Amino acid sequence: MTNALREPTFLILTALAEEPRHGYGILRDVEQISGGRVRLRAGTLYTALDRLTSDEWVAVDREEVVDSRLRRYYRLTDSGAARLAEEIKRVRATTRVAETRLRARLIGGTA
Amino acid sequence: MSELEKRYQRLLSLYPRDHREQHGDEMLGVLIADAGDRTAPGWRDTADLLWGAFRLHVRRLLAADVLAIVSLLGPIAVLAGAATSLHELAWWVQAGSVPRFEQLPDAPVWFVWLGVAILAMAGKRRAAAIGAWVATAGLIVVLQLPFAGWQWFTDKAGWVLLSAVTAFALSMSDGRKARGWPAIGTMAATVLVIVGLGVFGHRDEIAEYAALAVLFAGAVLAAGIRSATGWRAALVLSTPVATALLARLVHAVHDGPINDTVSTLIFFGAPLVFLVAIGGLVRLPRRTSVS
Repeated sequence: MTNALREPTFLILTALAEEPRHGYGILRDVEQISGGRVRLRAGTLYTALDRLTSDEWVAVDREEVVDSRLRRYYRLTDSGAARLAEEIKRVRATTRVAETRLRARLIGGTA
Repeated sequence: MSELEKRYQRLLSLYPRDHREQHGDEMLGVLIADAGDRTAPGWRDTADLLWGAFRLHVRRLLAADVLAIVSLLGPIAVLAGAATSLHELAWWVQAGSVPRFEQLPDAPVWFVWLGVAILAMAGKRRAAAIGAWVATAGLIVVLQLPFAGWQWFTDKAGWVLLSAVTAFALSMSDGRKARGWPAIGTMAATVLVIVGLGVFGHRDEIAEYAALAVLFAGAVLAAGIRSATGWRAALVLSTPVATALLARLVHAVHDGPINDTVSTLIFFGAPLVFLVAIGGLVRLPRRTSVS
């Protein structure tokens, strides 16, 4: 059984699921995905990217220079997508149990 | 360059060298874009960058490949710590007598380490890990014995540290990527030279420094001179060298006793911080940036 992903990892993989993004783009997208609840910072992001690239869940897609500064785009790899899909399945199963139990509680009317 | 950029660059300079070379400019761009109207890094950004730098340094030092090498060569390297005891034993044997326990309290520990080294080479890693932790605990007990020559305030702390790190490596690594028999042979030959210097050159300053040089050179050769992983593993295996040099430095600038807490911080804390920091200075082969 694989361990649950930590929330920043889950959000970074989610941010990259749709299209390749650069570092700042990932930060903004993570904030948006989480409804403003999670605000990653550069140190946390690049520490996570270091691990995700060495695990080969994320890869560098392309580089460009904007305002004489390097901008590197990252993409989700197939194994990264598989790991994200696995995590979604795990969260969905847990959520389903929680929903069922909550419904039973409401029907039963007990505390 | 703005003051904000300079300050961020100063913080980024704390990152491991390979990470800085690959992501430094990119991170600076993200930090500047995220800074908005700020003219100085906020405390949250500063703390986040410091924590990130620390984690990356530790990650590099404790990378699976480094642990694999340490788990194989560490049990052999630790045996060099027996040099002083072997000199003592040789003296007693030469005198036609048998030493009492008080004379060689650490002897059982080295026998355990010899067993651990054999188990590690035979691939019995679980048994080797258990033995390594027992031996490490044994060394710590020896440090506490009032009649033992081992004290916190000596260069011996390096052997305890190397024992603990080797036990950790044996527990965490399956050793699959470790270098093979030539590396084991090199490390074993290194230990034999160090033991020879310790037995025949006891209390001779030149022999003591030569033993430290041999340990470092042997560790580098055995662990792999051509890779960053090898250099990092060699740095871990050379922990007793760092502690011994530190002990000489402390003795040179401070004549007299130091309390246990300060000694522990100096001889156990400082080498660990040094290892974490220096491990990140080793340059990794440049990765292909776009895949």
